[in-house]
Amino acid sequence: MKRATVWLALVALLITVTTVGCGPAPTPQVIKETVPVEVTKEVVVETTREVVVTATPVSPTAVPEQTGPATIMLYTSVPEGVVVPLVEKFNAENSSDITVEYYRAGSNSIISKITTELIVGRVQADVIWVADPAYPMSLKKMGLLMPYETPASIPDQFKDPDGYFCAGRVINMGLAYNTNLVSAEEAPKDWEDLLDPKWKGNVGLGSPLFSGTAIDAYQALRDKFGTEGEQSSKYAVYFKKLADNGAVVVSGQEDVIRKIASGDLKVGMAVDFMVRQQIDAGGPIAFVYPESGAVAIASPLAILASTDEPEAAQEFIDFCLSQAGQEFLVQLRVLSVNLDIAPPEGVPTVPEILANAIPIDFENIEKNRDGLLQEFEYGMFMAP
Amino acid sequence: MSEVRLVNVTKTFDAVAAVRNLSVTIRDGEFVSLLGPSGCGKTTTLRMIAGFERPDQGEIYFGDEVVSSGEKNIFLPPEKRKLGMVFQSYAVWPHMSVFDNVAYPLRVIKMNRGEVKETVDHALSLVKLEGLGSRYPHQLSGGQQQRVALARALVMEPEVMLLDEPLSNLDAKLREEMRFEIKDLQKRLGITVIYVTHDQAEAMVMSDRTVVMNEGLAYQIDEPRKIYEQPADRFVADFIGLINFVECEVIDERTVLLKDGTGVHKVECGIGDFNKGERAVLAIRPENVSLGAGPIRGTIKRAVYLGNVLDYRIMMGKIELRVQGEAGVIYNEGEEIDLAIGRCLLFPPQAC
Amino acid sequence: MRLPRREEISVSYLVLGAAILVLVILVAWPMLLLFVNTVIVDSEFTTRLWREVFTRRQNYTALRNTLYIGVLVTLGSTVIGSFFAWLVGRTDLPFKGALKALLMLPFLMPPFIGAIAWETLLSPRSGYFNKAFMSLFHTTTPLLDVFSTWGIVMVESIYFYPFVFITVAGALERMDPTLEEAARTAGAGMLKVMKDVTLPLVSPSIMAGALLAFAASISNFGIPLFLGMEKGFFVLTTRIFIYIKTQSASFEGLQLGATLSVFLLLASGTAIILEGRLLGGRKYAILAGKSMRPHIVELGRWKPVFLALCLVFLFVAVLAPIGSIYLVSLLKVYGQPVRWENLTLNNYYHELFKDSMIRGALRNSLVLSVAAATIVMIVGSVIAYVLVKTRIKGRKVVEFFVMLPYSIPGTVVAIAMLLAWTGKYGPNLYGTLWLILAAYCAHFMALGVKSAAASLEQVHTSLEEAARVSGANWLKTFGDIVAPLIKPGLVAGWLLVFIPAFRELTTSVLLVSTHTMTIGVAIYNRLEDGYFLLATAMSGIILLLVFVGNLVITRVTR
Repeated sequence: MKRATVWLALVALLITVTTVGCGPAPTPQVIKETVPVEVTKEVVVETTREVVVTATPVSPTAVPEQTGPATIMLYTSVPEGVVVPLVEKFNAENSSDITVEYYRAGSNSIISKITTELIVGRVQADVIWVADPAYPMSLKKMGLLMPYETPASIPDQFKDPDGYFCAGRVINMGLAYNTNLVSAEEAPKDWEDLLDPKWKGNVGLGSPLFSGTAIDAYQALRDKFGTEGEQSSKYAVYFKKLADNGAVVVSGQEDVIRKIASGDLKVGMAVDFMVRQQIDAGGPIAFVYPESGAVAIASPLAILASTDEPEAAQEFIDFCLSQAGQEFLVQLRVLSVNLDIAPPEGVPTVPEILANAIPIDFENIEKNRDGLLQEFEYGMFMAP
Repeated sequence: MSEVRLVNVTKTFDAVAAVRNLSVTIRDGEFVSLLGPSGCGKTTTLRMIAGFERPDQGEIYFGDEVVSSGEKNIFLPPEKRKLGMVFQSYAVWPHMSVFDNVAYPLRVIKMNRGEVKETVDHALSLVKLEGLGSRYPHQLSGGQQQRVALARALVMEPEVMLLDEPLSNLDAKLREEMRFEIKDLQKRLGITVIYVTHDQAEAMVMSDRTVVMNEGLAYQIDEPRKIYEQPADRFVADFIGLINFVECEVIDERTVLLKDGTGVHKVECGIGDFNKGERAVLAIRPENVSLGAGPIRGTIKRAVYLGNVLDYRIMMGKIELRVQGEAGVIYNEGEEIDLAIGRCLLFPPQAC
Repeated sequence: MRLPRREEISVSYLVLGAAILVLVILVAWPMLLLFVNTVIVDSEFTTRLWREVFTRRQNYTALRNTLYIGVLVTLGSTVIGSFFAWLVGRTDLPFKGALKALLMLPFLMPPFIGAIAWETLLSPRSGYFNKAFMSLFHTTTPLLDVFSTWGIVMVESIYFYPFVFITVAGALERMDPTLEEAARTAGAGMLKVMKDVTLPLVSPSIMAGALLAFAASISNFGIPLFLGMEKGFFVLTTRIFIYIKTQSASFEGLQLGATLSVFLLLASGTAIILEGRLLGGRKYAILAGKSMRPHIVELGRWKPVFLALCLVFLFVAVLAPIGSIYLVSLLKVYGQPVRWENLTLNNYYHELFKDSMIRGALRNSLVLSVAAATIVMIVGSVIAYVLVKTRIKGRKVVEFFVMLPYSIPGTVVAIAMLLAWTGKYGPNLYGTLWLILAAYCAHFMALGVKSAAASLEQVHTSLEEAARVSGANWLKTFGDIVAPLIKPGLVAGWLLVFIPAFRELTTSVLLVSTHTMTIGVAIYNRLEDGYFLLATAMSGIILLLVFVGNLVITRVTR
């Protein structure tokens, strides 16, 4: 009897140990070596071009692992409402038996995850797609990206001049309001309208500590409205005024939408396509492109140099940038980087938006990310 | 005033009767033991007197005052009953010094400091703990802790003191000593004591009267000697001291017939209410069998030397008798002897 | 004392050695690396990280906030926990059994789900309670802003009072009732007995529970993360998280996070030392020799008042948040009024059947928590044996390493695991469940050791000695006598590890990857992504699983 108890405990241990051992977890197939990126750009482009053109492996020595099905990992901050249908569509439709898996989180989570993986020498991502172009710029400088082929249908303004990344969508930061609580007439029309005392305590914005879009918007509006103070007491005037108007900082962009749609907040800064998706879901919310210009971000796709499925990665990106892929994104309420594709109904065209957009100093974000975050925090929460 | 009277007290726990219709009066200055096997209801009775349990029915009086009444819904909480109580577990508070433990009841009534000191010192001297006031309970032996508990119970000079098996955690020698000390204190202070024990020797030595309890009922309330010599029934006879039970048949007013499987013996015995020809059980205390001469022949099966007496098991035909003989004459195992049955009692036959 | 024979020494020392080795691998080594990595960067000694951490004023604010919240939550938890422990343990309140079970519910609730729940009730603008309050009293001031300091204190107190409740209720149950009865016969009334006897005697347990609540508060991550961000209110755990989260493409964020976590180590180290100091000379043997009916205080005419108090507390603090989680999880769109036409089961359907990530996360969390609880209880009971029953030198050191990872936040444990087990010094466990399992085992070892030790203390040495005299060796004695006797304690300990491990967030949030997602992190991601309804549906599922699991396991093993 008692012996049985002890044995049971041992068996339980064994079972758990073996379950951990042979469960879904260890995923040895995902283990990758970090390949030092010494390959020059030309060589890589050459190889990929070869593959793209022939579409079948011609030289087994050059690309040893291209036969058979492939699995690639996408790390992205694109909301599930977009990335899931897109990935499902690709997995179902691609003819090369490629499976895309994804890890979805806020931009900063993606960045810190990749950093951690770089440190431990196991970068699991093959393709990244975050909101903020400053991050691929960092990775490019560190030599961690692989250049790839992009279709001619996409204008050069969306492409890295060296071919290391290319935008796959245009997202815009603008204004949103709850249609049950706020009429279209009294809704804010431009950035400064958010400072109106009638919204006191009812304005929301996403935190740059979590969201890449938010840090881009912070940089843009900071430059537009200026900063005051020196060193650690420096702050962005616009955001300080927002704070004085009781603005509520929530974590991610999706959270802003949720809080406005639920009526917890009345107005706020929000991302256009998320608002459109929320409207589709029945949420009482509307989006306004600010009169003085939106914060327009061309959100980039990049392939990590450490990938061991470069062809599959290229094929997935090809799909995303293709006419069909971009049209599918527009169906999901996202704006296309292919200017020939009409935007969703009632939305200004991308050239119209871009013509009016506030410029964003991505170089500064890339160099001074930590400083910007401290400055934001100081202005929002600490400045007297 | 310090008379304690229980009238038809009944207490039931989850449909199990712990005390059934108990009536007893403990007189002023009397030492009464509640004696019985575990689960007999003696501790419940004590706790009802203390006020830790409410009787379901019946009344408890302190003098003329009703302190508990199931019917009238009267219930005086324990702190108002002005009792002293000593617990089996000592219940000495580990976070207080000896002095603070004993002083506690005085501080509850807000006695002034000087008086507290004097009274506590007196109480400690009563229990022979002078000079140990600053110690903490864990620095004391079990016997000393029990004395602290005793001093704490005495310090208010209660007229009634309740003791719940206070000596059962002490070793034999210390227990013996404490029996006399407690009895001595009770006599000197003239207080009423109600004492719960399962140790019959303790009850015998200390009590003026003893209540023998079993299954919630009081079987006999009497002086110790009467309980021993004239037990009310077979249970009491069996519970108090050693006794032999032998089946027999009443043949006339003075004689019963005893069959031992090999022969029959006539034994003289007062038959009380029994009728001629009735079956009965003969109860014989071991010391009431005299050895060396008599009408009955037996064989010594076992002899055990106990110092002051010899404890024999004697086969009388097929009946085994336990007999205690003087240590002066020693019979050996296997020896055949004559014996005579002296004083004995008769009980009705029982299923058990 | 008889000296053990040589072979016995080898067997017992082998087992103990193995247990200690596990401890070194899981705890001592990663912790050491954590320290080393804050002063050695690129194999050079530097004070740069320390200077950076110590000169940033946000860090001091975070430290101050951590201690401020910690102290207030400790006070709140202690008052609530002790009061209810007394109420259900020592009074004649009706329905005590049911009340006790309900009062333990917050322990089953993951604190970060609690935070979400309270947001739905006490958001200053749209929380159900606040809206009701504002429309009732025609005011625009909310009853309580859940995003304020006081909101955080309240929510943490509600989820951490069970620590005090359990320890105090246990002490009250085991306390010899005659200690109180003696005071009653000495003339003290009920209140005076409570003040003079009951309270001093259970004060070590109150203190122990209070310290648990303090440790829980300063190491908590979910509640300040979800409730503190809106007003920029940071504590050390969230500050560490932000360091790591906002690291750009350098290792620095992780290193700064590790350095800042030393702040937290100081805070929790102080708590451990404080516990030793406060309880050092005050461990009384107040246990009753035999089981006795506790001394029950009769509430008399106050009974309905106390019962009402109990019920109001249960409804407002315990049941309303749970109810709110389930209510919101049934909505089609968040913020819609609760009407029949707005309700749907789609959120549940989506989480359970449409999203394979969630299914994987559920499976991972289940495997991880079962494995962690089992390993922790096996290793933990052996270590507890060393601590309780032997006089082996160095067991104090063993005890320190057991307690360390529990008293520091999961975030720090996770960083230590990342430093130790990602290939630099041995196997690279990154991206596997093994890494998370190691972190769980290290983090929860203290719970296993503590609960096993508590049971072992009740097993008198003579019981073991009787087995040894009967010819059983040490190992056999442990298996045949000790293990069965402490089994109820071990089962309780197993649950104590299983429940928090199952819904763990703090540690896993830094360790998961696509295939090793845990359910806690999955819910966190849902929230960060704004899928509030899905997050509440998932929370509802977890609550149900934990509740049913708890019920089944306690029934089966009774």
